[in-house]
Amino acid sequence: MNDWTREMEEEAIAWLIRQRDPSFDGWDTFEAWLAADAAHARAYAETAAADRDLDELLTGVSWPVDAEPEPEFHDPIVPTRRRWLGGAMAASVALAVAAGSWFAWPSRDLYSVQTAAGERRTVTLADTQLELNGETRIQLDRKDQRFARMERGQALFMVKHDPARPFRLETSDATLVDAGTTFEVTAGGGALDLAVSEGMVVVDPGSAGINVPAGQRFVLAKGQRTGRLSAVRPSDVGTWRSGQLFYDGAPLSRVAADLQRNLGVPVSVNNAAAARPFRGVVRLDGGVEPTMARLGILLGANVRRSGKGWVIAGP
Amino acid sequence: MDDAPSSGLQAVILANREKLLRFLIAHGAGDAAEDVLQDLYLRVATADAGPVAQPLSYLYRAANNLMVDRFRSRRQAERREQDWSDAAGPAQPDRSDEPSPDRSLVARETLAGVQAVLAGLGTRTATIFRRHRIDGVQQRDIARELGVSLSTVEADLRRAYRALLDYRRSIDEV
Repeated sequence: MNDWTREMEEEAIAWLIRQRDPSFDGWDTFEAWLAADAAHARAYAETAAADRDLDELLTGVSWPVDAEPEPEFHDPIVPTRRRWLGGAMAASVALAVAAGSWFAWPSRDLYSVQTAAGERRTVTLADTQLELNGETRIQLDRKDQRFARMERGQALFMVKHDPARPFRLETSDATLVDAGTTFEVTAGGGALDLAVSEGMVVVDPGSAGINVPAGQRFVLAKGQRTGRLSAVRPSDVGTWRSGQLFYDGAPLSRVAADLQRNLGVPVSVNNAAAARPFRGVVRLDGGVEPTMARLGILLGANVRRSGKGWVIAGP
Repeated sequence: MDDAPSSGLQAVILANREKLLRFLIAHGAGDAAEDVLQDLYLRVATADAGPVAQPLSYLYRAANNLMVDRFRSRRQAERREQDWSDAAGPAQPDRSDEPSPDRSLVARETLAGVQAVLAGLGTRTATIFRRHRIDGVQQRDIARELGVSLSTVEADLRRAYRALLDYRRSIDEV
């Protein structure tokens, strides 16, 4: 019936397990193994299909109960010490009990790169590309191409992973370490918003850290010590580069800050509307005036000029 | 693939056509390799993928997944065929997909079997399998968490998969 040996099946299992690591890139070697014997491909397909079938099967399995209670998905989670098990999002949220200290550099040789509102800039480091949105200020190290410090603003990081030298990004509130990654960071005013479109980022990798995998967003609000995880569509990460801003419940204060950053004009929101959540897509094409006009219609709110800038006022 | 590439990933496919075809052929796609590549080409245009740091690696993974998908759907079709011919009496073209009492009984027994297999692996292996396969924790993080080496984690996962595959085969062949 099957034309492969048990040994081939063991090899197929080993490949499958290696490939479950998101940063796996041994596809050439895998291809050579497949090509070595036509039965290898069949053993692999059978094994991989069985692995997929497990998804359904394992949903019913009851595991030994852990001592900790299972927090609700929307509870703020503390990125320290606590083991985070179970719950609806358990499959994608994990606490990394991190290894020792992440090397401290004795001396840095920093320089700043910054953009004005409405300006964009691409910075290329060794193995990493940074796309800075407007109103962004970032410090880079002449001696260390795997480091950046973000003072404020928004940037998309496309990092080629190197396990020996993880890319490390500091903000005023957190340290982020990539694990093979494309991610967007918005920082400033004491808040942090991290959205991961590929691979994984570890937040605060010191004594403990949280893994934020692709498809997840980690938001740390101003003055808070606990962050919140939610889902984000990978395709929505970094969309400002193509002139679209996606929101899934962000407060209007965030929308206003993004508009100011992207359009290059002051945009504020009055207190009554600042916390109002917004879901939708803001298109930036056509420039300031058409964008603000569309926003007014979208929000059903009063969006008007005020001096050199714009004000979003509550309905 | 005559259309101009509408996404960055499509351009990467065009630039690496021969490599990807070779991969698909090694994967057993045979004459269908071109079709699978075309399928991949269309999928990446609409894929829910944001910016990708290592596009070729991403495409290999996607191609690999497509081949596994094809294998699964072919096998499921074969099984349906088999069920059909095994079914006693006249064909029932509008047979419901609702699980019959028999089927849910089988599912419960299967679940109990899986549970037993996992319990039989020992605590460490079962924990590693659960952390990885259910909680989605990466292997190197599990190694750190449990204070064991990465190769121990890999070996335990291989053992768990081996046991589950064997169990699966044992029920398939009943």
